[in-house]
Amino acid sequence: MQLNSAERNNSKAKLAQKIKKEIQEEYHRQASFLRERSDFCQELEYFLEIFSLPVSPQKVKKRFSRPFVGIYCIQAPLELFDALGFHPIRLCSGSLAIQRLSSPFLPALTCPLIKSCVGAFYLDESIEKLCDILVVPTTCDWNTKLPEMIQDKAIPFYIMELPHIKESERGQSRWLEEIYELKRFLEQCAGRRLNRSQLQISVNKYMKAWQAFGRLIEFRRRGLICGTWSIVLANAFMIDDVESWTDKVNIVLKNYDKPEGNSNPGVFLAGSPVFFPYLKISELIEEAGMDILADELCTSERLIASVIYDEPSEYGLLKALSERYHLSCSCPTYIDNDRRLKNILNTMRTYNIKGIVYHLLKGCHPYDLESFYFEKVIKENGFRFLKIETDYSREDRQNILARLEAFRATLC
Amino acid sequence: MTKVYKLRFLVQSMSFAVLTYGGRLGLRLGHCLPCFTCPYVGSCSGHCYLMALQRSQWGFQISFAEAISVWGLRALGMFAGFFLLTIIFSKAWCGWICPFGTLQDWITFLRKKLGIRESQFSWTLRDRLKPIKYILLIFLIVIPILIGNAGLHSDFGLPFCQICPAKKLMPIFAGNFRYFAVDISNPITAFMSIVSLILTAFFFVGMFFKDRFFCLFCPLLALISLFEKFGFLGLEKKVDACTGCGNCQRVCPLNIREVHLEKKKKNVLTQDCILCLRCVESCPQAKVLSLKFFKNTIFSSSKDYISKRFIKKKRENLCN
Ligand code: SF4
Ligand code: SF4
Ligand code: SF4
Repeated sequence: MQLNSAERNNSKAKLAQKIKKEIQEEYHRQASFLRERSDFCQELEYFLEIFSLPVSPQKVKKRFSRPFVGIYCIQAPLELFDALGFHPIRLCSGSLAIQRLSSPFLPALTCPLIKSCVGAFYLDESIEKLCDILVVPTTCDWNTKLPEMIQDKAIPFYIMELPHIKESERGQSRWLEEIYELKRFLEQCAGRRLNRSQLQISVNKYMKAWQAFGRLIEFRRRGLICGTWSIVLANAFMIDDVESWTDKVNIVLKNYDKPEGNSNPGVFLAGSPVFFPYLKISELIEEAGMDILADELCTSERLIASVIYDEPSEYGLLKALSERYHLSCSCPTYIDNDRRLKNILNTMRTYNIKGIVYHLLKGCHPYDLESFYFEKVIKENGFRFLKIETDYSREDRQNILARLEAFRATLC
Repeated sequence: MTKVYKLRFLVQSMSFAVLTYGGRLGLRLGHCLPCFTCPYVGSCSGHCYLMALQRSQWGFQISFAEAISVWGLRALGMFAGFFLLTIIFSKAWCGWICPFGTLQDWITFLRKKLGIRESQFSWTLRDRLKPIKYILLIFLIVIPILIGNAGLHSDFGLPFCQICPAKKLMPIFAGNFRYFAVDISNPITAFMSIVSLILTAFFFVGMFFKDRFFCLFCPLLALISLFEKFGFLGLEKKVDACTGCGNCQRVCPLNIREVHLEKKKKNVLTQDCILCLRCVESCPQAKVLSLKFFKNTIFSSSKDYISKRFIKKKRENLCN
């Protein structure tokens, strides 16, 4: 009996080792793909390095000296963590190999992103396990259930209850209360009070990141930098230190020369998140001969917004933060979703984008549910619409490519 | 790029100086200015139209018989002057010129420097306050009519001026504290001056804790907004590109929600708006909000402007 369990443990450990290797390979493979692209330049290497961090957590520890807060989704205010001396990391995962660790404990049709995120807790070391606190805003059902799925992993969870109606006084004041509560919790963890001017400094730091990101988006809209790189750069923001990220983005934009221009038709990429090393959809769109001029992914353009305040009191600052992470956020889990659709249409009109690729991860419910209505409205407005439902696997690449190529033909 | 808030500060300060002290230099701008340039400030260079409106020669304190005589014409002429000035600058009178508005902005500036937070009104309370300014406007028209026609005691004359906090606060800038005294000539004047003292204290405290607290109740704002659709200036919104970020609502000194919540109409110049343009300054979406003069855009929102306006280059400039 005893021997058996020891054997089992042994083989389990072996499997974990094997999977760990596979994950490393997956990350390296994706990074090399990117390096081999014709539009790669030396300045971009910095961002690829960031993505070597998830597979070697010890490097993370060395690189960022502050205690880590892991955040799922994008509604927890980064500035607040920064001001209280934490390094916020937006946790997300695009790894396929890692899913083998979590699949036995999850329903078959789990959102791939959640599968990968949960998998990280079954590795002997991962960024997730380095975090001192994990903050989870209750966005989609998967995210809401996440703390329960990994409750035996002994990392303290902090849950923020997200009001799903934004344009009501109730919703806004409840979220402000959540922000205040988070502040109190973090003050306890940090052992010190929030300092108003420290918070102003943090807000300013992130404003500079927003400014650089705005420039990046402008480059992208003019076709000067491609969609895949824009997404990779935005992805890196989720892990990196904000100030060095800003500097590096500015450097890239200063020196970036796109190899001779083409006149590919532009598309808008909407739907489920895309996170390194899962860049299948954006790479395939480009392979099919289209430029992703804009997106609304929560791992890309939805990620960074500005915090405008003109009340420097603590209340004024926190209110500005709370609205930035609530009203400004266009997450599909909000019930007031109409502006988002209007904004997408407006961007398409403004930049003369004729079609939208709606990316759907199998099991990602909010995007799945709305996609039918979106399709109807978008088509009614005279644009093309293509829904691609997929997961992290590589098997369907040819199939998707064929569909994208057919879609491209309708745009010309 | 000139920063609008700096320009506004400059224009406000200059108007304050000109309107409050211009009289000493012999400047006479008439009696129909659409802002609180209070005649009780001895040295002022022009008069608030609200006074003319309540008076006997130029306003409503006339009998019906007088109204159809030359007096009526004079009142009409005065109104024509007011109307003209109102449509030219519209609400910019409030946001850029009114000395009493400027005083409130200065007090707010002080509060912010001290790091004291602004008080918040609930949406319901904010909406309930809206009609008060119209009620005041009706009273300040009806009472003079009653004096002129129904034998109401003439000590009720200029009823709004009697209780207006500007009448007490603005003369201070000319070194005059006289209007803080309680006038005990008769029960009416005693009553009115006590009410006015209480109101002044109330508004003074309110102005400290809430941006433009008096403007929430200002009957002149009510009067100006009656004619705002004839105005040359407009505040317009490109609704499809608005992300609903709420910046405009948060920075608005009058907590106007419509600019943020409007999803259909282009025109977002609302009854309480004072055209301070803070919403335009803080809207991050390109050209979503813009100030129009007839059809021409004078100023509109952009990322670039926000970066210049809100991002501090040096850390030292930050901690205010
Ligand atoms: S609303 Fe304010 S700024 Fe306008 S006239 Fe009244 S007090 Fe002056
Ligand atoms: S709506 Fe805009 S211009 Fe009008 S008062 Fe508010 S911030 Fe000022
Ligand atoms: S600031 Fe601009 S984008 Fe934001 S809610 Fe107001 S109008 Fe819309």
